[in-house]
Amino acid sequence: MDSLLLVVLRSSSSLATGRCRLRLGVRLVAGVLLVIWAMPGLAQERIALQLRWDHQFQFAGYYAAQWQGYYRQSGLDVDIRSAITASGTIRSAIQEVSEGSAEFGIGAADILVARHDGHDLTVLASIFQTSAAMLFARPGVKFKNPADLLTLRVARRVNDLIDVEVQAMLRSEGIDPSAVKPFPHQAGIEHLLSKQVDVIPGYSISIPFLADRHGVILTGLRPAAYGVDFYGDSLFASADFVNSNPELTARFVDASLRGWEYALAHPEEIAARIAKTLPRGRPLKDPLEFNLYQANGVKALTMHPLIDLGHVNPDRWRRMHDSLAQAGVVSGSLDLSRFIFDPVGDVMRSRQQLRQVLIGVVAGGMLLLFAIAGWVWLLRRNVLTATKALQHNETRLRAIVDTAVEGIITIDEQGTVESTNAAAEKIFGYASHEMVGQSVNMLIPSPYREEHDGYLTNYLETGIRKIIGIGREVQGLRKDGTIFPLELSVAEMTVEGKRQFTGLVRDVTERHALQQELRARQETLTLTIENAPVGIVTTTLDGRIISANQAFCSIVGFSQAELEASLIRNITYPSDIRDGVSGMRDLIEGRQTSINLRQRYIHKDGSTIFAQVYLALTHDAAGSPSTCILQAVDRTQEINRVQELRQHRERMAHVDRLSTMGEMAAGIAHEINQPLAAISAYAQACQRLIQSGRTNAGELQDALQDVGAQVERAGEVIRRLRGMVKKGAGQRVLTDINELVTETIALARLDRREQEIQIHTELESDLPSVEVDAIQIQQVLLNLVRNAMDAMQDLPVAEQRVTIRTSRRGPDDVEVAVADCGAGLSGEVEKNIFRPFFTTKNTGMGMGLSISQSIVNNHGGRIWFTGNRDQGTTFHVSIPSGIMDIYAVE
Amino acid sequence: MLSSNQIVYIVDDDDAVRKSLCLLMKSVGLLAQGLASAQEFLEAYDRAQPGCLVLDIRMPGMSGLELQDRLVAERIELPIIFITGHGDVPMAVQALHKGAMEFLEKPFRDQDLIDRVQFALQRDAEQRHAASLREILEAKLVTLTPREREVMERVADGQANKAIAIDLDMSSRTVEIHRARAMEKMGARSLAELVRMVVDINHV
Repeated sequence: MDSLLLVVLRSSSSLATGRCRLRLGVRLVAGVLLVIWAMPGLAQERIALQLRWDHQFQFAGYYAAQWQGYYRQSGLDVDIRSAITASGTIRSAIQEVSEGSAEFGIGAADILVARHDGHDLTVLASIFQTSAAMLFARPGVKFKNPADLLTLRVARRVNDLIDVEVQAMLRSEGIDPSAVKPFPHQAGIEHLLSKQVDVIPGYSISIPFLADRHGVILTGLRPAAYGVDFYGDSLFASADFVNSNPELTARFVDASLRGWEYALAHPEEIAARIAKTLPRGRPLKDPLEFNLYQANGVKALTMHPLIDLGHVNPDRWRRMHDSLAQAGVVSGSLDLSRFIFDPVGDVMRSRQQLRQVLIGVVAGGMLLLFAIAGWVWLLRRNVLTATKALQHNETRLRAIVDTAVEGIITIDEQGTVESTNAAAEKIFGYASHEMVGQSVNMLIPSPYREEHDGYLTNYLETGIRKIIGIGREVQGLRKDGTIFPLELSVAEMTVEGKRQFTGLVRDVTERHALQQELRARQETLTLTIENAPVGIVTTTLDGRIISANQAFCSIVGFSQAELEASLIRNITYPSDIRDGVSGMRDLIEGRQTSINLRQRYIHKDGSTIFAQVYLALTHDAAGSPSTCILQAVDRTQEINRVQELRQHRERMAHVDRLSTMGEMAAGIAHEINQPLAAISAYAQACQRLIQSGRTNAGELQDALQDVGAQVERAGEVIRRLRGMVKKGAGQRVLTDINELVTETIALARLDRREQEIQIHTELESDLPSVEVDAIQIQQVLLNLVRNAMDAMQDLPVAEQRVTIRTSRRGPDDVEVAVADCGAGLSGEVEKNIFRPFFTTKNTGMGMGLSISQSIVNNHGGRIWFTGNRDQGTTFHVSIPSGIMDIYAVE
Repeated sequence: MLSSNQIVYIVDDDDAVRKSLCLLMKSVGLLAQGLASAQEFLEAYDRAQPGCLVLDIRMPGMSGLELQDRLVAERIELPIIFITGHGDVPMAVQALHKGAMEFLEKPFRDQDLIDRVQFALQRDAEQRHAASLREILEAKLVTLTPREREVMERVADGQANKAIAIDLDMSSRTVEIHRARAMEKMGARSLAELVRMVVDINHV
């Protein structure tokens, strides 16, 4: 847990508070600009970075910044140029940058040399914290310390980049560099291996690799080991460019450093990509190995993470300058303020300079006042105007700082508050004057308060950062004693040798509350889903199960782990998969927003689960479907109960049919016996006729034809009976109701009594088909017809008459009406007629109408009766046409 | 005893049964006539026609039993063989009580029907023969005086002349004269023949 480390811009001793605020403002403005630049979609600024050699891992950070998009995110379009031109010549980064062909370049000590030569360059960041310069000796050559150079043949290019380091090393060892005789130096290591020389200069990140290719191991000596601490590869630009584009420069440096961070964290990836994609001006035999080799050396040179990437120590540059001056390469002194890039300082410095100039002008004006009186007024006016402008600027920046949403607090090295802005006052509840001059600890609750001092001290001593440049969430203490969460980021800056820390503070109480609420809601939701009585599953769009709640697990019998490794289709009843898939398609293609369908699942124990399933999709920020939410209600028990009920009803119906058939047995027997008797008689007759010879072929043929017809007649009777006596399969098929009526009449006539009764039909043509269990509906109709006949028993046969009508009832229903002309129903009969076991007859169980009603209801229809106007009763059955819902629960 | 002019009437509303039975009768050399209903039979039948009746019990309109009642009422003694597809026992008992000869349940063995038809025809012939004998006797009988008939019945009863004379308060001689006259009128050649005639008359 980090404490609040608040920080600052500067020591208040040397500068007025107002100026301090001004500086703060500049940084703030730069920050805001950065944010704006970082926004995608804005135009990218085109700039060029000139490398100092061919494409290789030496420059990995810049490629990484490019490939990782850091430059692009910073609003930069960077052209990273190799030093090797198409024609094979070498481009100088110093020259390119000085001439303005490139905005940024990579250099080292040569930047100092160039500066001496009149190129006004500024170092932006030093990547190689130590120089790669070395001296290498052939194997077998005694080369253990700088003094050995006096006796060896040393290849030198006097005063080149490596040589000045060698010279500094020799001097530090008390050796006059001129005592080491320069032998001619060439590129590569051939002259070393061919013994033309004993020692050559070179870089640690390339020469050992070349030697290795030749199968030799060289002895090396680093000037750095002798206190020569030259920086290696450093980013630079022209001072003018930096001064006029401070924030662009800051963005470029920042993005580059991030690139380096990435490259050093992923050396293999970047090395491979360099080797594969970047064209070499000087081709390599094995670019991948070379770059991988360099990756190791480069990492060592950056001293990352021991030292912050890009860290620039002005004193070291001064020492480098001194070393070069001693070598006679440069002369004079080095103006560090202009030579080293300070994103905040630069802007300030330019203003300071302006102010100094103004003061000079004012002073001059005072002196001249006596000589040229007329100019005084003019000059004063100029001075006033300029000063006002400056004041105006300050006021404006102060306004920006004060209206900033974030609290801004600056502290010095001791943790003493130097300034605060309006937002900070509001956040902590203190007036500015109550904080300024006090320890920042007043704003930090225990126990962090105690730790804070430790952090600060620790950082000042070791440079180990806990919060600077990182930003994190800590706790703050308000004047009223409340402790609250705040987000803190701290920037460090050195102004005139004094360290200052600026803390940007944002009260995140509200955000915390929101997060808390979000968490609570999330938890509620999770609990709700987990404990919901319905099964809830989330799947990918192609049906892979992401999660399943307890209810769903118990519905299908699989564990969450088993489900979460599976596809929803794996547990779906095969013939139902298609419905689910087409539902999903409708959702994904936007035809429906939710789908309600029936799916059967296969329980782990193999049983079938009937579920009502609801599907819906969630969408990502772009509005594309992302996941599917499936809710399943288990209706297995319900369906099973309905099926049991249906089976029970079918059994009852079957019993009733058998009972009816029993009642009709005599009639049925007659209907079968008649043809049998005829057949038997014909057979006997034919036999006797043939024996007696008193016959002819025609007579016999007629007889046999009749025999055939009678066989068919008996078969037809049996066919009719078979349907009535078998157990129903409960299958519903589209049926023409008129055909059913005709068949029923045929069946009714089996009971021979009924042949004496007239049965009239009035069948409406073009009725819609009904989806019914034909046997059951025929059973209902047969019941009604038989009842009608029974109702007329007391009438003379001639008056007995049954009328069966079919018609359309409403738009969807088909009605069958069976009318008798009996005595009608008594009140008591009317009341009980559909009750089971209620009967007015001597035979039968009294189940007929009760079962008929159950059958008709189950078909979604209705059965009722009406009294006829003249005499008798009519029973009506209406059945919905079309397809029935097989899952319908009555 | 069977005569060639006997007809087997087959009354059944079922065409196939009727036709097949007619053919069966024909195959055994009998004349048969098929009729689809009781009414048709009543219209077609002449009581003088010898033969027998094969009758279906259940028929639309007049049933077989109703036809039987009607024939009994009209004293037509045509032998009836009932056939039924219903196997209806109470109905069969009723029919037999009313004098039906036979009751056959469909489907029956053809030989059974043929045997029963043969038997019925023979019975019809016998009945018709007995009926014609009785008619002759009765014709002779009406020529007797009451006294002659009285004497004849007592003679047939086995009474002696003297006992008859005492009972009827007449002389033995007168009894003998009445007896001789009665024997002459009845055409009896012996006392025994006369006695049998009296028995037949009383019996038939």
